[in-house]
Amino acid sequence: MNEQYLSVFIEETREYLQLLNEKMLSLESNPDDIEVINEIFRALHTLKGMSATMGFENMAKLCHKMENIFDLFRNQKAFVDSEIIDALFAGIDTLEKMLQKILDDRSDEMDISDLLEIYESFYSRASSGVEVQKNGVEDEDKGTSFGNEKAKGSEGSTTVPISIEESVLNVIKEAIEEEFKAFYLKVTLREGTMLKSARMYMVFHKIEEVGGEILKSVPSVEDIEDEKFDRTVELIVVCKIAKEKLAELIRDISEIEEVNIIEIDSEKLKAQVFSSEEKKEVEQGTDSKNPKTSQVDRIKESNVTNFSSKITQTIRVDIEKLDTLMNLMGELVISRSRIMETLKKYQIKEIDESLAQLSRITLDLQNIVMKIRMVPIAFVFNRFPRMVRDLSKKLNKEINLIITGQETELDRTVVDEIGDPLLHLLRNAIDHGIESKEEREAKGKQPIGTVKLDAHHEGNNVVIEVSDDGRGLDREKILKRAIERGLIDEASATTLTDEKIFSFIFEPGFSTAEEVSDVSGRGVGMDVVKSTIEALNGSVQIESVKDRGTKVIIKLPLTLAIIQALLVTIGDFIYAIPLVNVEETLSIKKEEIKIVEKKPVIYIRGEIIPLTNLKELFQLPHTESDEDALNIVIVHSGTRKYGLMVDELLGQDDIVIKSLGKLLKGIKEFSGGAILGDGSIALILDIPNIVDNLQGV
Amino acid sequence: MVDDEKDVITAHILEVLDFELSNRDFAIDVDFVEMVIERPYITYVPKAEYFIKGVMNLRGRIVPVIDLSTLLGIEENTEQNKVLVLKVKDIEVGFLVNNVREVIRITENDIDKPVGTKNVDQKTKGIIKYDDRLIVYLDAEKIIEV
Repeated sequence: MNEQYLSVFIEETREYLQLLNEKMLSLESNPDDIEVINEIFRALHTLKGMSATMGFENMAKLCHKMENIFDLFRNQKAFVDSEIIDALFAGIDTLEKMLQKILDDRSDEMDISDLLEIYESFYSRASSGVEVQKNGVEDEDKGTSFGNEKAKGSEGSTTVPISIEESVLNVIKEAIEEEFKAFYLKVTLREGTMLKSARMYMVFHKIEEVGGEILKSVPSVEDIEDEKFDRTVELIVVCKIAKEKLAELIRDISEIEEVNIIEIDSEKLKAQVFSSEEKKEVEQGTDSKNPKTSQVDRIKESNVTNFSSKITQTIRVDIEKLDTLMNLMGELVISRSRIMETLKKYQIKEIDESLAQLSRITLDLQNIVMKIRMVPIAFVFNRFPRMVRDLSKKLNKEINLIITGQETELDRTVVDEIGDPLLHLLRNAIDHGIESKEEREAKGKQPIGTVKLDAHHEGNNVVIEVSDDGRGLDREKILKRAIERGLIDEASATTLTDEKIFSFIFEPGFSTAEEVSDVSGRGVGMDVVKSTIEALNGSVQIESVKDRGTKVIIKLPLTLAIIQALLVTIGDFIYAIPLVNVEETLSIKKEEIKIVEKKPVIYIRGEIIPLTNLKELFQLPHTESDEDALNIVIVHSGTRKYGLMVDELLGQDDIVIKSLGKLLKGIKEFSGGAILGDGSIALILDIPNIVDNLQGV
Repeated sequence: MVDDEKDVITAHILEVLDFELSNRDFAIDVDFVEMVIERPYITYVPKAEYFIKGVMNLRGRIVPVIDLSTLLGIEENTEQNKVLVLKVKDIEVGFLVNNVREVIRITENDIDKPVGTKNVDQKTKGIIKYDDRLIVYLDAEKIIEV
């Protein structure tokens, strides 16, 4: 089997499984949501198709059975209950395991008989009341799904297997009146065609070349461009040339396996569209009698694109390759600058243009390369709702998980590492933090516990907070354990702050749980959390109030992150000031500087702001400027504000923070360096440290 | 015994890179040397140690450049337009030098151990006698330690 396709398959299957998990959760809380049911149905259907194409029959079988269940739901022949939800979740889990197995040893062999039995009995129970023709159901679902392999109509028949909107129908009618011919075309590419969208583009191009117009395509043009189709595309085309001629033209394009063509007679078509709708309603309506359902169904049908565009297409890339790419990018930029410098001497006009073009391209390329490394933290957060659901069920606690800030972007390496520690923290919060329902009620709390997961940027850090409204940490118990374990002696115990005491739970093997549950309490976890986060140069902090809850605050530096910075010159060099620290920039006259207690200050809107000359601070050669106007950057750290005198303001830019290395680690004034577009280095001012430093003086 | 020892030692051939700094000869273990480049643009780093000339952009990495002559207390009297890029204990660093000559092969026997206490002596592994020249054999690891 082709490894290349396999990796695409694995990646896409992962995305679908994630989607299934999400949708299942929303279905659980909203069992009547027909839209969600449809989405799950379609996802399973696609998954079935994908796995069958790849030859994973077992997986396809499981998907098929699950799909059948959803078919019952969407036709309202069965209703969602917690039992079947659990069984379906188990199905998703099994699919995940299969995927892992495929990844490990290229096989989906797994015993799924238990699950299949559950599904089958559910299916037969639900459908026994109503006469369901299995084939009818299948045919119908093929008709509604995109990328369908078998269209209903065989060649030569006049039925058009895709639904045609009223508007398209009108165009067809008009076209026929103007002696155009309308065709339904089904174009199938050969198996293993590499550039599917390019092939399809050739088909489109050919049709347009002979004066034809494409009125509708299934899947949509956007999806075709994104290669979101299997091998078959269905088109409604109007043109003036004959049916055979058109078919022949398209067959001439290489890698086309099959072209089915049907001439559309507008009258017949109308009748056909109508009757097929009726038929559908009869099929669905046997016991539902609910016209709304089929309405929704049809709307969703035409919105298939929405569904597929929601899934972000991704590929996995070795992070080292990205690093290399980034560095090569840097070299490219430098080479470009060198070429420009060299060519400046000759002043060749023609080259100027192409160089400008080159500059633009390199800049775009650079931006993309920088952004490739960043991924939203949703990548990690997405897996938690499911985990929380399972755990709360197991522990019989009702939990409301609130996730915010999942769009916060983090460096890929950090995102990969942070998942497990967060999982530990959430487990702790649910198992130890949140009390049982009875206990909560006795305390006068909401019976439903709340666990919050939040991510946001704060300065040069990403802050992730895991908080719960549970019982809080038991200060005395922790202290007792700490003394028992000899982490501290009794005498000094009384002087400890809460923070210090809470930090004991990060000690290896430290647990206050009296009973070891299989969720947590073994004392493994918190120390792992701490060491993982510290390995990422981050920090963990705990806040807790008895009976009010616990909050774990994780701060992670953006070692490789892109930040927005204000670029300024001081002396001969460019420096970057993180935009988060910048309050405002202004230009003042020398006379506006006042001296208060022998220190220069300025008044801005009634506020006294101390001024600092960065040249003095950095011990740079002092150049007395004749200019009257001075550029000031007002920075803040916490509540303190400072005005920094700089020579020039160059504007803002996205920069990648790079470490200055071990040798320069001791310099507190700079948090790192950034490589600018021309290859030069701008040092990044560490404003909090500079302000602290100035305060001390 | 003496013979044995000598055999072992002669079997140990060391490869060192011979370079010029302020009209003097220096050498460094070739294993540490990653590359030799033309002196790039060096960005001054305020508040850094006196011997750090600044940082350079080395293929997208920010690498500190050490002013070797200042560090060793030698007068800098010529233009240093080569940078010797070293990687010592995972730390990448550039040394400003005047000229890079060649890789020479020596044995332990060619090295006189350092005896002095001067700045230079603490950062050397000794003096190499080679082709009637005296080459100061620098200890890269000790230089990085500062």
